[in-house]
Amino acid sequence: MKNKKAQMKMGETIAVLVVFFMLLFFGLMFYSKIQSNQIKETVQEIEEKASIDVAQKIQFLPELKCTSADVTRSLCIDFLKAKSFANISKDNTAYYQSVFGSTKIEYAEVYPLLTNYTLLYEGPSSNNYLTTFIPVSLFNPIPYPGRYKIGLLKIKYYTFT
Amino acid sequence: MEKRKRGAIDVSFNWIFVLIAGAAILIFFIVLISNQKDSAESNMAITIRTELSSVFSGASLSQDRNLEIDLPKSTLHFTCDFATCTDFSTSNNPNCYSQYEIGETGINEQTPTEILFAPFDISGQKLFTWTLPWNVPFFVTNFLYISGTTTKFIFVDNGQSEILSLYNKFPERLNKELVPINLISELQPEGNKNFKFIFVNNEISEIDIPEQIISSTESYNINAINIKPSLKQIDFYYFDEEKLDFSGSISYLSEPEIYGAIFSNNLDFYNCNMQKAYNRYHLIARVIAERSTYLYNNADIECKSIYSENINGLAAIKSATLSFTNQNINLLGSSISTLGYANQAAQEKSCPLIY
Repeated sequence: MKNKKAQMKMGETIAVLVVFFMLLFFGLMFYSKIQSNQIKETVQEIEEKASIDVAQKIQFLPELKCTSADVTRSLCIDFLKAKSFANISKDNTAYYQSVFGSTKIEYAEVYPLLTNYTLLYEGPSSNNYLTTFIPVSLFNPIPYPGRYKIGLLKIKYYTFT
Repeated sequence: MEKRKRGAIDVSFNWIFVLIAGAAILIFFIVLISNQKDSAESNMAITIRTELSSVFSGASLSQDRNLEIDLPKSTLHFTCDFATCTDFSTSNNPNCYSQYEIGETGINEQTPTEILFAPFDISGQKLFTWTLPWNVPFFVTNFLYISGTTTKFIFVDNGQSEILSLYNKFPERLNKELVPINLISELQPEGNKNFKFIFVNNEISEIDIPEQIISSTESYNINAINIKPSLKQIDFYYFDEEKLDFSGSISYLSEPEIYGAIFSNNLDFYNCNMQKAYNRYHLIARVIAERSTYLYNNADIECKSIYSENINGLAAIKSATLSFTNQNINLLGSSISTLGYANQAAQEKSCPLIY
Protein backbone atom coordinates (compact mmCIF):
# COMPACT_ATOMS: atom_id res chain seq x y z
CA MET A 1 0.00 0.00 0.00
CA LYS A 2 2.75 2.40 0.97
CA ASN A 3 4.69 1.37 -2.14
CA LYS A 4 1.69 2.16 -4.29
CA LYS A 5 1.33 5.56 -2.66
CA ALA A 6 4.97 6.40 -3.35
CA GLN A 7 4.66 5.19 -6.92
CA MET A 8 1.58 7.35 -7.42
CA LYS A 9 3.39 10.39 -6.05
CA MET A 10 6.31 9.79 -8.42
CA GLY A 11 3.86 9.35 -11.26
CA GLU A 12 2.29 12.68 -10.32
CA THR A 13 5.66 14.44 -10.50
CA ILE A 14 6.47 12.89 -13.84
CA ALA A 15 3.05 13.85 -15.22
CA VAL A 16 3.61 17.45 -14.14
CA LEU A 17 6.95 17.48 -15.89
CA VAL A 18 5.47 15.96 -19.05
CA VAL A 19 2.71 18.57 -19.17
CA PHE A 20 5.25 21.31 -18.52
CA PHE A 21 7.47 20.23 -21.38
CA MET A 22 4.49 19.83 -23.69
CA LEU A 23 3.43 23.40 -22.97
CA LEU A 24 6.98 24.55 -23.52
CA PHE A 25 7.15 22.68 -26.80
CA PHE A 26 3.91 24.22 -28.09
CA GLY A 27 5.06 27.63 -26.96
CA LEU A 28 8.34 27.26 -28.86
CA MET A 29 6.53 26.02 -31.98
CA PHE A 30 4.25 29.07 -31.90
CA TYR A 31 7.21 31.41 -31.36
CA SER A 32 9.22 29.90 -34.20
CA LYS A 33 6.21 30.20 -36.55
CA ILE A 34 5.96 33.90 -35.75
CA GLN A 35 9.73 34.33 -36.18
CA SER A 36 9.60 32.58 -39.54
CA ASN A 37 6.89 34.95 -40.80
CA GLN A 38 8.85 37.94 -39.53
CA ILE A 39 11.96 36.72 -41.34
CA LYS A 40 10.03 36.40 -44.60
CA GLU A 41 8.77 39.98 -44.22
CA THR A 42 12.29 41.22 -43.43
CA VAL A 43 13.70 39.49 -46.50
CA GLN A 44 10.99 41.08 -48.64
CA GLU A 45 11.83 44.51 -47.17
CA ILE A 46 15.54 43.99 -47.85
CA GLU A 47 14.83 43.03 -51.46
CA GLU A 48 12.63 46.12 -51.97
CA LYS A 49 15.32 48.35 -50.48
CA ALA A 50 17.94 46.77 -52.70
CA SER A 51 15.81 47.35 -55.80
CA ILE A 52 15.45 51.05 -54.88
CA ASP A 53 19.20 51.33 -54.33
CA VAL A 54 19.87 49.75 -57.71
CA ALA A 55 17.34 52.02 -59.43
CA GLN A 56 19.05 55.06 -57.89
CA LYS A 57 22.47 53.82 -58.99
CA ILE A 58 21.30 53.34 -62.55
CA GLN A 59 19.61 56.74 -62.59
CA PHE A 60 22.96 58.38 -61.79
CA LEU A 61 25.14 56.07 -63.86
CA PRO A 62 27.96 58.05 -65.55
CA GLU A 63 27.73 55.68 -68.54
CA LEU A 64 24.21 56.96 -69.26
CA LYS A 65 23.62 60.38 -67.79
CA CYS A 66 23.73 63.63 -69.73
CA THR A 67 26.73 65.81 -69.00
CA SER A 68 27.99 69.09 -70.28
CA ALA A 69 31.68 69.23 -69.27
CA ASP A 70 31.47 69.14 -65.43
CA VAL A 71 27.76 69.86 -65.27
CA THR A 72 25.38 66.93 -64.87
CA ARG A 73 21.76 66.97 -65.84
CA SER A 74 19.63 64.79 -63.61
CA LEU A 75 16.95 62.39 -64.91
CA CYS A 76 18.49 62.58 -68.37
CA ILE A 77 19.93 59.86 -70.57
CA ASP A 78 22.34 60.66 -73.37
CA PHE A 79 21.12 58.71 -76.39
CA LEU A 80 24.62 58.11 -77.81
CA LYS A 81 26.00 57.03 -74.43
CA ALA A 82 23.09 54.61 -74.06
CA LYS A 83 23.90 53.12 -77.47
CA SER A 84 27.57 52.70 -76.50
CA PHE A 85 26.72 51.32 -73.07
CA ALA A 86 24.39 48.69 -74.59
CA ASN A 87 27.36 47.36 -76.64
CA ILE A 88 29.96 47.57 -73.90
CA SER A 89 27.76 46.04 -71.19
CA LYS A 90 27.37 42.87 -73.28
CA ASP A 91 31.14 42.27 -73.00
CA ASN A 92 31.23 43.07 -69.31
CA THR A 93 28.04 41.51 -67.92
CA ALA A 94 29.81 39.96 -64.93
CA TYR A 95 31.35 43.29 -63.94
CA TYR A 96 28.07 45.17 -64.11
CA GLN A 97 26.38 42.38 -62.20
CA SER A 98 28.56 43.27 -59.24
CA VAL A 99 27.46 46.89 -59.70
CA PHE A 100 23.71 46.41 -60.23
CA GLY A 101 23.04 42.85 -59.13
CA SER A 102 20.70 40.82 -61.33
CA THR A 103 18.92 43.51 -63.26
CA LYS A 104 17.42 44.22 -66.65
CA ILE A 105 17.63 47.82 -67.83
CA GLU A 106 15.57 49.08 -70.74
CA TYR A 107 14.41 52.42 -71.99
CA ALA A 108 11.75 53.58 -74.41
CA GLU A 109 10.78 56.86 -75.95
CA VAL A 110 7.25 57.97 -75.06
CA TYR A 111 7.09 61.44 -76.62
CA PRO A 112 6.92 62.59 -79.38
CA LEU A 113 6.98 59.00 -80.65
CA LEU A 114 6.09 55.86 -78.71
CA THR A 115 8.74 53.20 -79.29
CA ASN A 116 9.44 49.70 -78.02
CA TYR A 117 11.82 49.16 -75.15
CA THR A 118 15.50 49.07 -76.08
CA LEU A 119 17.67 46.81 -73.96
CA LEU A 120 20.66 48.42 -72.24
CA TYR A 121 21.77 45.65 -69.91
CA GLU A 122 20.56 42.23 -68.84
CA GLY A 123 21.95 40.16 -65.99
CA PRO A 124 20.83 36.73 -64.74
CA SER A 125 17.05 36.58 -64.45
CA SER A 126 14.47 34.75 -62.37
CA ASN A 127 10.67 34.50 -62.16
CA ASN A 128 10.49 36.94 -59.24
CA TYR A 129 11.27 40.57 -59.86
CA LEU A 130 10.52 44.11 -58.76
CA THR A 131 10.06 46.73 -61.48
CA THR A 132 10.81 50.43 -61.21
CA PHE A 133 9.82 52.97 -63.87
CA ILE A 134 11.64 56.29 -64.01
CA PRO A 135 10.61 59.07 -66.41
CA VAL A 136 13.67 60.60 -68.04
CA SER A 137 14.69 63.02 -70.75
CA LEU A 138 16.38 61.43 -73.74
CA PHE A 139 19.02 63.72 -75.19
CA ASN A 140 20.39 63.26 -78.68
CA PRO A 141 23.40 65.57 -79.24
CA ILE A 142 23.20 65.27 -83.02
CA PRO A 143 22.64 67.65 -84.68
CA TYR A 144 24.03 70.47 -82.52
CA PRO A 145 22.74 71.82 -80.09
CA GLY A 146 20.88 68.54 -79.61
CA ARG A 147 17.30 67.53 -79.08
CA TYR A 148 15.33 66.32 -76.04
CA LYS A 149 12.58 63.73 -76.00
CA ILE A 150 10.65 62.17 -73.15
CA GLY A 151 11.40 58.60 -72.26
CA LEU A 152 10.86 55.94 -69.65
CA LEU A 153 13.59 53.95 -67.96
CA LYS A 154 12.44 50.49 -66.88
CA ILE A 155 14.50 48.63 -64.30
CA LYS A 156 13.66 45.04 -63.44
CA TYR A 157 15.42 43.84 -60.30
CA TYR A 158 15.39 40.05 -60.08
CA THR A 159 15.17 38.35 -56.71
CA PHE A 160 16.21 34.81 -56.00
CA THR A 161 14.40 34.18 -52.69
CA MET B 1 14.96 -0.38 11.45
CA GLU B 2 13.48 -1.37 8.09
CA LYS B 3 10.92 1.46 8.12
CA ARG B 4 13.60 4.12 8.86
CA LYS B 5 15.83 2.79 6.07
CA ARG B 6 12.95 2.85 3.56
CA GLY B 7 12.02 6.44 4.53
CA ALA B 8 15.63 7.58 4.29
CA ILE B 9 15.95 6.10 0.78
CA ASP B 10 12.59 7.62 -0.32
CA VAL B 11 13.52 11.13 0.81
CA SER B 12 17.05 11.03 -0.67
CA PHE B 13 15.79 9.68 -3.97
CA ASN B 14 13.14 12.40 -4.16
CA TRP B 15 15.70 15.17 -3.71
CA ILE B 16 18.11 13.61 -6.18
CA PHE B 17 15.30 13.41 -8.70
CA VAL B 18 14.38 17.07 -8.07
CA LEU B 19 18.01 18.14 -8.50
CA ILE B 20 18.40 16.25 -11.78
CA ALA B 21 15.13 17.57 -13.18
CA GLY B 22 15.94 21.10 -12.03
CA ALA B 23 19.40 20.98 -13.55
CA ALA B 24 17.97 19.71 -16.85
CA ILE B 25 15.42 22.54 -17.00
CA LEU B 26 18.07 25.12 -16.09
CA ILE B 27 20.47 23.87 -18.76
CA PHE B 28 17.66 23.89 -21.30
CA PHE B 29 16.82 27.50 -20.61
CA ILE B 30 20.47 28.60 -20.50
CA VAL B 31 21.05 27.05 -23.95
CA LEU B 32 17.86 28.66 -25.26
CA ILE B 33 18.83 32.10 -23.97
CA SER B 34 22.36 31.76 -25.31
CA ASN B 35 21.01 30.85 -28.77
CA GLN B 36 18.58 33.75 -28.65
CA LYS B 37 21.40 36.13 -27.72
CA ASP B 38 23.51 34.99 -30.70
CA SER B 39 20.45 35.23 -32.93
CA ALA B 40 19.70 38.76 -31.71
CA GLU B 41 23.30 39.85 -32.33
CA SER B 42 23.20 38.41 -35.84
CA ASN B 43 19.84 40.12 -36.48
CA MET B 44 21.25 43.43 -35.38
CA ALA B 45 24.34 42.96 -37.54
CA ILE B 46 22.18 42.14 -40.56
CA THR B 47 20.02 45.22 -39.94
CA ILE B 48 23.12 47.41 -39.61
CA ARG B 49 24.57 45.93 -42.79
CA THR B 50 21.36 46.51 -44.78
CA GLU B 51 20.99 50.07 -43.53
CA LEU B 52 24.66 50.90 -44.10
CA SER B 53 24.53 49.47 -47.60
CA SER B 54 21.67 51.85 -48.44
CA VAL B 55 23.38 54.76 -46.71
CA PHE B 56 26.68 54.21 -48.52
CA SER B 57 24.88 53.69 -51.82
CA GLY B 58 22.90 56.90 -51.41
CA ALA B 59 25.84 58.88 -50.05
CA SER B 60 28.05 57.90 -52.97
CA LEU B 61 25.51 59.25 -55.47
CA SER B 62 25.48 62.80 -54.14
CA GLN B 63 28.47 65.02 -54.81
CA ASP B 64 30.36 67.07 -52.24
CA ARG B 65 28.15 66.18 -49.31
CA ASN B 66 29.07 65.22 -45.82
CA LEU B 67 26.74 63.26 -43.58
CA GLU B 68 26.68 62.19 -39.96
CA ILE B 69 25.09 58.80 -39.31
CA ASP B 70 24.09 57.37 -35.93
CA LEU B 71 25.24 53.81 -35.37
CA PRO B 72 24.40 51.28 -32.70
CA LYS B 73 27.40 50.40 -30.58
CA SER B 74 29.47 48.22 -32.88
CA THR B 75 32.75 48.18 -34.77
CA LEU B 76 33.04 48.20 -38.53
CA HIS B 77 36.09 46.48 -40.05
CA PHE B 78 37.04 47.59 -43.56
CA THR B 79 39.17 45.40 -45.81
CA CYS B 80 40.52 45.99 -49.29
CA ASP B 81 43.37 43.80 -50.51
CA PHE B 82 45.33 45.20 -53.47
CA ALA B 83 47.08 41.87 -54.03
CA THR B 84 43.74 40.30 -55.04
CA CYS B 85 42.82 43.07 -57.48
CA THR B 86 42.39 42.33 -61.16
CA ASP B 87 42.05 44.87 -63.96
CA PHE B 88 40.83 45.05 -67.55
CA SER B 89 44.22 44.01 -68.92
CA THR B 90 43.65 40.52 -67.48
CA SER B 91 39.90 40.11 -66.99
CA ASN B 92 36.46 41.19 -68.24
CA ASN B 93 35.20 41.19 -64.69
CA PRO B 94 37.92 42.91 -62.68
CA ASN B 95 37.36 43.34 -58.98
CA CYS B 96 39.16 43.32 -55.66
CA TYR B 97 38.60 41.36 -52.45
CA SER B 98 36.95 44.11 -50.47
CA GLN B 99 34.33 44.14 -47.72
CA TYR B 100 33.20 45.65 -44.47
CA GLU B 101 32.28 43.48 -41.48
CA ILE B 102 30.02 44.26 -38.54
CA GLY B 103 31.83 43.48 -35.28
CA GLU B 104 32.93 39.86 -34.85
CA THR B 105 29.62 38.42 -36.08
CA GLY B 106 30.96 37.35 -39.44
CA ILE B 107 28.16 39.34 -41.12
CA ASN B 108 29.75 41.33 -43.90
CA GLU B 109 28.97 43.20 -47.09
CA GLN B 110 31.14 42.56 -50.11
CA THR B 111 32.25 45.70 -51.96
CA PRO B 112 34.18 44.42 -54.99
CA THR B 113 33.51 47.53 -57.09
CA GLU B 114 32.52 50.19 -54.54
CA ILE B 115 35.13 52.84 -53.84
CA LEU B 116 35.29 53.44 -50.08
CA PHE B 117 38.24 55.13 -48.38
CA ALA B 118 38.11 54.32 -44.69
CA PRO B 119 40.37 53.30 -41.80
CA PHE B 120 40.59 49.58 -40.91
CA ASP B 121 38.31 49.90 -37.89
CA ILE B 122 35.58 52.37 -37.07
CA SER B 123 34.00 52.14 -33.65
CA GLY B 124 31.73 54.44 -31.74
CA GLN B 125 28.19 55.63 -32.23
CA LYS B 126 28.69 58.02 -35.12
CA LEU B 127 29.86 57.53 -38.67
CA PHE B 128 30.85 60.35 -40.99
CA THR B 129 30.69 60.17 -44.76
CA TRP B 130 31.93 62.65 -47.32
CA THR B 131 31.92 62.46 -51.11
CA LEU B 132 33.93 64.24 -53.77
CA PRO B 133 33.43 63.86 -57.53
CA TRP B 134 36.37 62.43 -59.44
CA ASN B 135 36.55 64.28 -62.76
CA VAL B 136 39.41 63.13 -64.99
CA PRO B 137 38.39 65.19 -66.96
CA PHE B 138 34.91 63.64 -67.31
CA PHE B 139 32.98 62.49 -64.28
CA VAL B 140 33.86 58.89 -63.40
CA THR B 141 32.54 58.31 -59.91
CA ASN B 142 32.20 59.85 -56.49
CA PHE B 143 34.86 58.93 -53.96
CA LEU B 144 33.20 58.03 -50.68
CA TYR B 145 35.25 58.81 -47.57
CA ILE B 146 34.21 57.28 -44.25
CA SER B 147 35.45 58.00 -40.76
CA GLY B 148 34.45 57.63 -37.13
CA THR B 149 34.66 59.69 -33.96
CA THR B 150 37.90 58.10 -32.75
CA THR B 151 40.02 59.02 -35.79
CA LYS B 152 42.05 62.23 -35.58
CA PHE B 153 43.37 63.93 -38.72
CA ILE B 154 46.39 66.08 -37.92
CA PHE B 155 47.37 68.53 -40.65
CA VAL B 156 50.93 69.63 -39.95
CA ASP B 157 51.49 73.27 -40.89
CA ASN B 158 55.04 73.94 -42.10
CA GLY B 159 54.17 77.17 -43.87
CA GLN B 160 53.09 75.54 -47.15
CA SER B 161 49.87 76.98 -48.55
CA GLU B 162 48.74 73.57 -49.83
CA ILE B 163 48.31 72.17 -46.32
CA LEU B 164 46.04 75.08 -45.39
CA SER B 165 44.01 74.57 -48.55
CA LEU B 166 43.58 70.82 -47.79
CA TYR B 167 42.67 71.57 -44.18
CA ASN B 168 40.07 74.19 -45.10
CA LYS B 169 38.33 71.92 -47.61
CA PHE B 170 38.22 69.07 -45.09
CA PRO B 171 34.73 68.90 -43.51
CA GLU B 172 34.35 70.62 -40.15
CA ARG B 173 32.35 67.71 -38.72
CA LEU B 174 35.40 65.45 -38.94
CA ASN B 175 37.93 65.30 -36.15
CA LYS B 176 40.65 67.51 -37.69
CA GLU B 177 43.34 69.76 -36.30
CA LEU B 178 45.89 72.09 -37.87
CA VAL B 179 49.10 71.92 -35.87
CA PRO B 180 52.26 74.01 -36.45
CA ILE B 181 55.21 71.71 -37.00
CA ASN B 182 57.03 72.96 -33.90
CA LEU B 183 54.03 72.11 -31.70
CA ILE B 184 53.61 68.42 -32.64
CA SER B 185 55.13 67.39 -29.29
CA GLU B 186 52.22 69.02 -27.48
CA LEU B 187 49.54 66.97 -29.19
CA GLN B 188 47.22 65.05 -26.85
CA PRO B 189 45.31 61.81 -27.66
CA GLU B 190 41.94 63.23 -26.38
CA GLY B 191 40.40 59.75 -26.40
CA ASN B 192 41.19 59.05 -30.07
CA LYS B 193 42.44 55.68 -31.28
CA ASN B 194 43.52 56.39 -34.88
CA PHE B 195 45.96 59.16 -35.76
CA LYS B 196 46.63 60.31 -39.30
CA PHE B 197 49.39 62.87 -39.88
CA ILE B 198 49.26 64.85 -43.10
CA PHE B 199 52.40 66.63 -44.30
CA VAL B 200 53.21 68.62 -47.41
CA ASN B 201 56.81 68.67 -48.68
CA ASN B 202 58.18 67.71 -45.27
CA GLU B 203 61.27 65.82 -44.16
CA ILE B 204 59.58 62.95 -42.31
CA SER B 205 62.77 61.59 -40.73
CA GLU B 206 62.87 64.71 -38.52
CA ILE B 207 59.36 64.14 -37.14
CA ASP B 208 58.96 62.71 -33.63
CA ILE B 209 55.55 61.41 -32.69
CA PRO B 210 54.78 62.48 -29.11
CA GLU B 211 55.00 59.81 -26.42
CA GLN B 212 51.48 60.46 -25.17
CA ILE B 213 50.10 59.60 -28.65
CA ILE B 214 52.23 56.45 -28.95
CA SER B 215 51.14 55.12 -25.58
CA SER B 216 47.43 55.78 -26.22
CA THR B 217 47.03 53.36 -29.14
CA GLU B 218 48.56 50.48 -31.13
CA SER B 219 51.39 51.35 -33.55
CA TYR B 220 49.36 50.29 -36.61
CA ASN B 221 46.83 53.02 -35.77
CA ILE B 222 49.42 55.76 -36.32
CA ASN B 223 50.34 56.57 -39.90
CA ALA B 224 51.21 59.49 -42.11
CA ILE B 225 51.31 60.75 -45.67
CA ASN B 226 53.63 63.32 -47.20
CA ILE B 227 52.22 65.07 -50.25
CA LYS B 228 54.59 66.46 -52.90
CA PRO B 229 52.45 68.67 -55.15
CA SER B 230 55.27 69.55 -57.57
CA LEU B 231 55.88 65.85 -58.30
CA LYS B 232 52.17 64.96 -57.93
CA GLN B 233 53.22 62.21 -55.55
CA ILE B 234 52.04 60.91 -52.19
CA ASP B 235 54.44 59.11 -49.84
CA PHE B 236 52.93 56.75 -47.26
CA TYR B 237 54.47 56.11 -43.84
CA TYR B 238 53.70 53.67 -41.06
CA PHE B 239 54.73 53.92 -37.42
CA ASP B 240 57.36 51.45 -36.26
CA GLU B 241 59.54 51.55 -33.14
CA GLU B 242 59.16 55.21 -32.27
CA LYS B 243 59.50 56.63 -35.79
CA LEU B 244 57.67 56.89 -39.08
CA ASP B 245 58.97 54.48 -41.72
CA PHE B 246 58.49 54.89 -45.45
CA SER B 247 56.20 52.24 -46.93
CA GLY B 248 55.78 53.40 -50.52
CA SER B 249 54.72 56.19 -52.83
CA ILE B 250 52.18 56.67 -55.59
CA SER B 251 51.42 59.37 -58.11
CA TYR B 252 48.08 61.13 -58.22
CA LEU B 253 46.05 63.10 -60.73
CA SER B 254 43.67 65.24 -58.68
CA GLU B 255 42.70 66.38 -55.19
CA PRO B 256 40.09 63.70 -54.43
CA GLU B 257 42.91 61.15 -54.60
CA ILE B 258 44.84 63.07 -51.93
CA TYR B 259 41.82 62.87 -49.63
CA GLY B 260 41.56 59.16 -50.46
CA ALA B 261 45.14 58.78 -49.19
CA ILE B 262 44.25 60.77 -46.06
CA PHE B 263 41.35 58.46 -45.21
CA SER B 264 43.17 55.19 -46.03
CA ASN B 265 45.22 53.54 -43.31
CA ASN B 266 47.94 52.37 -45.67
CA LEU B 267 49.15 52.32 -49.27
CA ASP B 268 47.69 48.88 -49.95
CA PHE B 269 44.16 49.98 -48.99
CA TYR B 270 44.54 53.15 -51.08
CA ASN B 271 45.86 51.25 -54.12
CA CYS B 272 43.04 48.73 -53.85
CA ASN B 273 40.34 51.41 -53.99
CA MET B 274 42.15 53.29 -56.74
CA GLN B 275 42.29 50.10 -58.80
CA LYS B 276 38.50 49.82 -58.45
CA ALA B 277 38.24 53.48 -59.50
CA TYR B 278 40.44 52.84 -62.54
CA ASN B 279 38.28 49.90 -63.55
CA ARG B 280 35.27 52.26 -63.63
CA TYR B 281 37.37 54.88 -65.38
CA HIS B 282 38.27 52.44 -68.15
CA LEU B 283 34.66 51.46 -68.85
CA ILE B 284 33.42 55.04 -68.90
CA ALA B 285 36.32 56.02 -71.17
CA ARG B 286 35.21 53.28 -73.57
CA VAL B 287 31.62 54.55 -73.52
CA ILE B 288 32.74 58.11 -74.22
CA ALA B 289 35.18 56.94 -76.91
CA GLU B 290 32.43 55.02 -78.69
CA ARG B 291 30.14 58.04 -78.36
CA SER B 292 32.93 60.13 -79.84
CA THR B 293 33.05 57.72 -82.79
CA TYR B 294 29.31 58.14 -83.37
CA LEU B 295 29.81 61.91 -83.29
CA TYR B 296 32.73 61.61 -85.73
CA ASN B 297 30.59 59.63 -88.19
CA ASN B 298 27.80 62.22 -88.09
CA ALA B 299 29.76 65.44 -87.60
CA ASP B 300 30.28 68.40 -89.92
CA ILE B 301 33.73 68.83 -91.44
CA GLU B 302 34.83 71.50 -88.96
CA CYS B 303 33.94 69.26 -86.00
CA LYS B 304 35.25 65.91 -87.27
CA SER B 305 38.87 66.28 -86.11
CA ILE B 306 37.75 66.90 -82.52
CA TYR B 307 36.12 63.47 -82.30
CA SER B 308 39.06 61.35 -83.44
CA GLU B 309 40.06 59.16 -80.48
CA ASN B 310 43.71 59.28 -81.34
CA ILE B 311 43.75 63.08 -81.46
CA ASN B 312 41.50 64.03 -78.54
CA GLY B 313 43.29 61.70 -76.06
CA LEU B 314 40.54 59.14 -75.53
CA ALA B 315 42.53 56.28 -77.04
CA ALA B 316 45.43 57.03 -74.70
CA ILE B 317 43.06 57.24 -71.72
CA LYS B 318 41.48 53.88 -72.60
CA SER B 319 44.91 52.30 -72.80
CA ALA B 320 46.31 53.92 -69.63
CA THR B 321 43.29 52.96 -67.51
CA LEU B 322 43.68 49.25 -68.19
CA SER B 323 45.69 48.98 -65.00
CA PHE B 324 46.58 51.20 -62.05
CA THR B 325 50.33 51.83 -62.09
CA ASN B 326 52.57 54.85 -61.56
CA GLN B 327 53.55 54.75 -65.22
CA ASN B 328 49.91 54.83 -66.39
CA ILE B 329 49.05 57.62 -63.96
CA ASN B 330 51.85 59.74 -65.45
CA LEU B 331 50.67 58.98 -69.00
CA LEU B 332 47.12 59.98 -68.10
CA GLY B 333 48.13 63.45 -66.98
CA SER B 334 48.79 64.74 -70.50
CA SER B 335 45.90 62.81 -72.11
CA ILE B 336 43.45 64.34 -69.64
CA SER B 337 44.62 67.84 -70.57
CA THR B 338 44.35 67.00 -74.28
CA LEU B 339 40.79 65.80 -73.87
CA GLY B 340 39.89 68.86 -71.84
CA TYR B 341 41.19 71.16 -74.60
CA ALA B 342 39.38 69.12 -77.26
CA ASN B 343 36.11 69.45 -75.37
CA GLN B 344 36.64 73.17 -75.01
CA ALA B 345 37.36 73.41 -78.74
CA ALA B 346 34.08 71.60 -79.46
CA GLN B 347 32.24 74.18 -77.39
CA GLU B 348 34.01 77.07 -79.14
CA LYS B 349 33.19 75.66 -82.59
CA SER B 350 29.53 75.01 -81.66
CA CYS B 351 30.02 71.26 -82.03
CA PRO B 352 28.42 68.64 -79.73
CA LEU B 353 30.62 68.18 -76.68
CA ILE B 354 32.78 65.06 -76.36
CA TYR B 355 31.71 64.68 -72.69
